[in-house]
Amino acid sequence: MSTAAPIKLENLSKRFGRDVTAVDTINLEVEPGTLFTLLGPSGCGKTTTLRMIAGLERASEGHIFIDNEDVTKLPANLRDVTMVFQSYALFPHMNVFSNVAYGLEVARRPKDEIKRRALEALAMVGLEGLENRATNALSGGQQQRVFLARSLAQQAEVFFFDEPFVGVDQKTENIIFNIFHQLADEGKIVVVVNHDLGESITNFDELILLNKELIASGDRQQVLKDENLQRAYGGKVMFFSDENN
Amino acid sequence: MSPPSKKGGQGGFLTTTQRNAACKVQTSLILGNPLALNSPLSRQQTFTLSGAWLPAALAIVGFLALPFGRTGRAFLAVDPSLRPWALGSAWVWLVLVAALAAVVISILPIRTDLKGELLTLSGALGLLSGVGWLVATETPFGMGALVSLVMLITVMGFGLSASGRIQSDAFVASSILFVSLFIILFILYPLFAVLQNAVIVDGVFTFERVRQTLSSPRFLLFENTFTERSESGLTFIFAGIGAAAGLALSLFRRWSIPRLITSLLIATVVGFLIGLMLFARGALPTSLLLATVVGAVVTVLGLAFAILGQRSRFTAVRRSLGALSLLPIITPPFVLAFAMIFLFGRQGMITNRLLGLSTNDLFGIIGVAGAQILAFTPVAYLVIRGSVASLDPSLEEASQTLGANRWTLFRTITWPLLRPALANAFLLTMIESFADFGNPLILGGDRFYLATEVFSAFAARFDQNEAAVLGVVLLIIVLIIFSLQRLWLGGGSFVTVTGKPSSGSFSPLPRVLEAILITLFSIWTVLVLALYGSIVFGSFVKLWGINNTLTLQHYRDFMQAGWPVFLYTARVAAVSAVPAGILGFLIAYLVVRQKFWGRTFVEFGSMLSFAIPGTVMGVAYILAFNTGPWLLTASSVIIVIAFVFRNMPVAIRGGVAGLAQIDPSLEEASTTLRASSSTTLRRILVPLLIVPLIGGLIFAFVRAMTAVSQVIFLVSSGNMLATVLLLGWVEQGQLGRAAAMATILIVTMLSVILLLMLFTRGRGAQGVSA
Repeated sequence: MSTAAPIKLENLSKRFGRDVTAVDTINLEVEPGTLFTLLGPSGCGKTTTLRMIAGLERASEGHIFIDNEDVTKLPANLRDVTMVFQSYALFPHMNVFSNVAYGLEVARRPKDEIKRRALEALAMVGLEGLENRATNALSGGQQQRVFLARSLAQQAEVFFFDEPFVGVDQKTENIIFNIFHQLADEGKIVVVVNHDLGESITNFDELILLNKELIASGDRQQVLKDENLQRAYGGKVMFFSDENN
Repeated sequence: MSPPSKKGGQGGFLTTTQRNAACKVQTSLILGNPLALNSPLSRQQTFTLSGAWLPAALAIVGFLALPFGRTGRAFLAVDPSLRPWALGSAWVWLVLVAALAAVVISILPIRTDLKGELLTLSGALGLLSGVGWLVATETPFGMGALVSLVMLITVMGFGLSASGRIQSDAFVASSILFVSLFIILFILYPLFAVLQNAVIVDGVFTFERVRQTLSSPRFLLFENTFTERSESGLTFIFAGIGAAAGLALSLFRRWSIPRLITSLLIATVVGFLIGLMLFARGALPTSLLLATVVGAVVTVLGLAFAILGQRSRFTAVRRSLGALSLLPIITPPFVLAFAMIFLFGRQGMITNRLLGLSTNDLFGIIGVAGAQILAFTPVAYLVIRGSVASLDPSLEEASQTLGANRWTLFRTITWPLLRPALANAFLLTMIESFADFGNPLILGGDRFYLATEVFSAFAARFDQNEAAVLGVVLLIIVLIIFSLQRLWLGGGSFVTVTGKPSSGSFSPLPRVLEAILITLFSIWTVLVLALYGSIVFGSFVKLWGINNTLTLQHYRDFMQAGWPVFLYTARVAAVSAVPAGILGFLIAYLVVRQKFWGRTFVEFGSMLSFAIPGTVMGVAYILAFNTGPWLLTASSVIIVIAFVFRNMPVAIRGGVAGLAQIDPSLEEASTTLRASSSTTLRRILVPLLIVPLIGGLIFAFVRAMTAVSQVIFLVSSGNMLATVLLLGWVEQGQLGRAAAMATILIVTMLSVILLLMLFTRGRGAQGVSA
């Protein structure tokens, strides 16, 4: 059932100006069907890396391959990558349904298909019946789920989630995790930027630890070693501590 | 470094049942999920058809179907001798070859980035050969050239996007190209034409005309041999006093040597300029004196009104100050000058009736200064108001609890916070004063002014070289002031920092100060109301000051001579407002939201169009578009273009301010949902920014209706504009019908602005959220 192809990063770097290096020569391969989480301290280039892959940020050096195709210079809207932002980024002038249907409308799908898929996506995140609500009439968790539904309706092959659990209630967190696993099982690429080194980490298959450069990747035993955490967080080991923003 | 990416422990620690328990999602939906099928949206093939085939094909059609050049001014005339095959030039055919090549490249199965490079190359080749031919043969461009070249630029846009040189889609890439070319063609090239005409006379490079113009007594009379005193001597004495003062200050403050030298130089120059303004005659010292005095007075008044508007105890005063800021928008800049003739002229209501004088003192630098002060005070008020509003009351409270008295408070807290706004207001009004054209033309008297000299050199002495030299001088002065402002206030960006009124309450104004301010404001208000009233009154009486019988004669005259012109003006203004608004918004979007090579250029270019005095731009347009490949003069087209580039900055500012309130992640979300940037603009940004967008359109329209300094160079017999006609009537002394036209203009503008406010109030909430 795996349809997505791997993402490969080759010597990927991002510099702002001359002095600031946000991402330093990362080599990485992300395979479909696995639930990845991207870890690292604040400002370590997690978001920047994802934004480069999504095409929202231009790589200073190196190459990005999706499905063995070099997409380093491809405009973002031609890449098969969906990104869920930290700020919910719902379109304030559209209701819930229009938000979810937006990507499908942009792709000029037939009317009935748009309706069917949008409603299905809303059902997946447990927001049936709220399609005519204004987005600002929803709670934070609900807004996050609308955002999720919008990405799901899109049927991309690659899903990036930037801190999806910030300010989200337990119910929403469960729903979101469930969907992550579902997407991974369907053979999609799922990468989640996560601030939290706490318990939720156990829900991911593979961990990628970043601090400007790639420090370690693999399963928990491989990544969460003291020496790695030392390199990433500089002395302070913050495993299982709660650090939000 | 590549990690061993195996599916470790399928699903982590949560088992499938646990997961389903965590969320009630129908299992059937997961298993038989239609979303899980191979996505029909995904783009798998590497070889794609480029959309560039369409513009390339249109370029071919345009090239073959329409004449490449034209002989006269008529755009749509089909002259068979200017068909491509009748021209017998290989260069012209390169356009077609390039377009054909672009079509072929678009459908060729080659790598995307290579395809992009080839498309860029062929587009550029066609563009260069087409433009090259037009320039080399000096043939005015025809519709065929217009269509095919525009389409080739679009092809280049597709190419730059596909090659990744501009990392955005073809729409943004093409927009960047078009905007840059517009700036080059309609802002930089005309300025270049002015420079060229200043130093190239009859095809020969010479500084002779520069020398002649600058040494003419009309420009600068440094030493008047008919007076007993020595003006130059006095000026040098002032320079010496300045130098001494600078030196004394430096020694007193114990400044370092470099700083001492700088302050010495600045003080000397300032002293020299003051001496020049006081003793010398001619356009340069007169304009300088005028701008300095007007700038200073207007800044003080603006500050006074801003303080009053923010802290007055009376709501009525604060309200009427809001209305004050509308005045310069709804009135053509010279209408107050014209009204001043009614009140203070030889037959003036005040000077003649009340005071029994019969004087022409109004006509001269005093009258012009008065008119400019009245016209520009609202501008300064608007600039300073934001700053006064953003003064944080808690700062004042804090310092008062620390025991600071009012004076200390003002000196240490208020003044440093206000200083940038005051400098900004001063320099902006100086620029406005230098650039002002209508007021000196009406009230100038026997003095010369830079802006009017440019016009009279051109229109009265028919000397385009002299006009160009004077234009360059005016341009240099304004650019110096403008860069001083940038230097002083920092930031080369359009993004203005707007202060939010913060919590806490201001201590009320001292009663004496408030009384003084209110008196000042009352005088100002009465004066302005009297001036506007006199225009309305003047339009209904037979002959102002002589025969005050009521009559509609002037309106009948206006209907006959002015109404068609008024309608034409409204039409041209409306037609130009749309591209001005769209272009302004596009530039705002590109500058704020896109990163591309040449962004600074676009920003600088559009700022330039804002800074350049209208008279300079008017001469520039005449010199640039009167002959040769870009022949456009004596048509509505050039007036529309002039309005578009003159008023575009208003829309840019509106767009920048609006975009600042919208979270960029909305656009990014739209992009990752695979919307192109044109779709994102249309479906996300335009609906969210509809209020500032409409506002930009309306202001562009209103500004076009009331503009005069640039277009006075561009009007022709069939293309007369209301303000130019009005100015002509005032000059001819037909004050009655001029008053009628001014009344109609003011009433129209007022209703347009009121409609806009009504519209904005209803929709005010939108576009702020996000």
